[in-house]
Amino acid sequence: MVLELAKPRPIWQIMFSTHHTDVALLYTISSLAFLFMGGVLALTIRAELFAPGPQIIADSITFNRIFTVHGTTMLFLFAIPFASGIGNYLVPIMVRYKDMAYPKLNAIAFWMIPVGAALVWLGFSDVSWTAYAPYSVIRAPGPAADMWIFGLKIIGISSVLSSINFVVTILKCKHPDLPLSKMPLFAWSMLTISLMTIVAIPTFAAALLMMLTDRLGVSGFFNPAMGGDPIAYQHLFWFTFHPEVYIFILPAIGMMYEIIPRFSRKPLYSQSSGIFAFVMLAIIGFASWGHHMFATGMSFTEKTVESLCSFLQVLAAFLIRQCHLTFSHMILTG
Amino acid sequence: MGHDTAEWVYVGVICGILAWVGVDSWYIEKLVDDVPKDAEVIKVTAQQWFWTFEHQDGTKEVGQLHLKKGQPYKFEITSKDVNHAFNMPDWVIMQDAVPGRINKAWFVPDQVGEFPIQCREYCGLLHYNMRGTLYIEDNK
Repeated sequence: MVLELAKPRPIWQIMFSTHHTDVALLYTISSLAFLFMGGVLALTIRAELFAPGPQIIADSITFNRIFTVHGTTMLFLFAIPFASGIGNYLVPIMVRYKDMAYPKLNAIAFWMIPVGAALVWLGFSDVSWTAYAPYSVIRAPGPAADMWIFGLKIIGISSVLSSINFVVTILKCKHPDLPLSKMPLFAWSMLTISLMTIVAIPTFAAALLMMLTDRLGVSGFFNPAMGGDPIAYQHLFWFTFHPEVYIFILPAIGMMYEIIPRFSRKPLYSQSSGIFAFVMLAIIGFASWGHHMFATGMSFTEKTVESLCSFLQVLAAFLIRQCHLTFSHMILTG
Repeated sequence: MGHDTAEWVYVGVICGILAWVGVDSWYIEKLVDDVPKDAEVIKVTAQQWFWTFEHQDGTKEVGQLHLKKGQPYKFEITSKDVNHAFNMPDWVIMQDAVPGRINKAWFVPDQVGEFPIQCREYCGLLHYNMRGTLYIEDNK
């Protein structure tokens, strides 16, 4: 960014470039733009709720549309692309390679995001970011909901493509002198979330397709009137989006692992337990999706198993707090 | 104290807290799961955007529910169209109303008064206004 300001280039040179730092700039700038767009919607919601009764939004459907697009924007158009942006910039440098493994795929993955974003924002759907069936199947007004489905489909493909790129870059293009155990923890966090994305996203992609065919009336996967089960949608959804929570947070934790030791001028408390925490979170993250569904009428056994997995998850999450140990170590030892 | 000791103490303390919270919540979940034998059944039907309650004797109420203090009640909750959630915040009851399924919840009111009932799962246009009132009267 500093280099760009010191020696400006025409914008199309950045836009049509496939170099990892240029794609990273595109990712970072567009995700920050989406952060502000989603933020404006958030401020609108808060302004509306400043007092009971209608304030600035005329009808409830507009309000429902606003919180849907706000949620979708913040999660899919800010959180994921922002991590990809920082990862694109730093991961090749951290593993000492000249670029990402597949530079063109990298640029394609980025350029799918504006397309998905346009579908989400022009449709302005009211399904809420979870799009629970059967509301999204039998009642949500089209074409907004259909545009939302296609938009998320495209964004999902984009994040799977960029994840494949990260995994190959880290595992195949890493400098031979750099063992995985010595690789910086931010690169470790990108490796973890990329593997998680590749495993998690296809489930939601399948659910989106089923939802689309349900909406078209040719199938009834989630429509009880046609013998379907609305709870099945929630299982598919949360099987993707519980791990997705860690996909959102792990790059931020990876950044903390890089930033805190450098600015406190103390070595990281323990590199290996950081790696262990990432891997634990990634594995257990796939077992605890059910705690989002406790109120849907789960059996006692299901609740017990899911609670147990969630407690293990919390344990793994606490291991991440060892960067706080670096911090307290710094205070204690001056 | 070396690195390892500090870290193991940290992990141990967290495991202890988690075990305590976990056992306690498991025990409470067991209590919640166990419906009293003498509970009166109330059939709760949600639809866009109001609640229908059917008592054991067949009387129906729309948007309001009259119950007696001290009597255990079991709710059988279902929906006619999309997902809703039956929520009485003052009585810590929240259970989704899912079309095609019957979910249960129970409670024993121990206090008379008027309490809000609301929908807690986004269900469309008038979700914000899908409310009801619970009246608990003295059992005399």
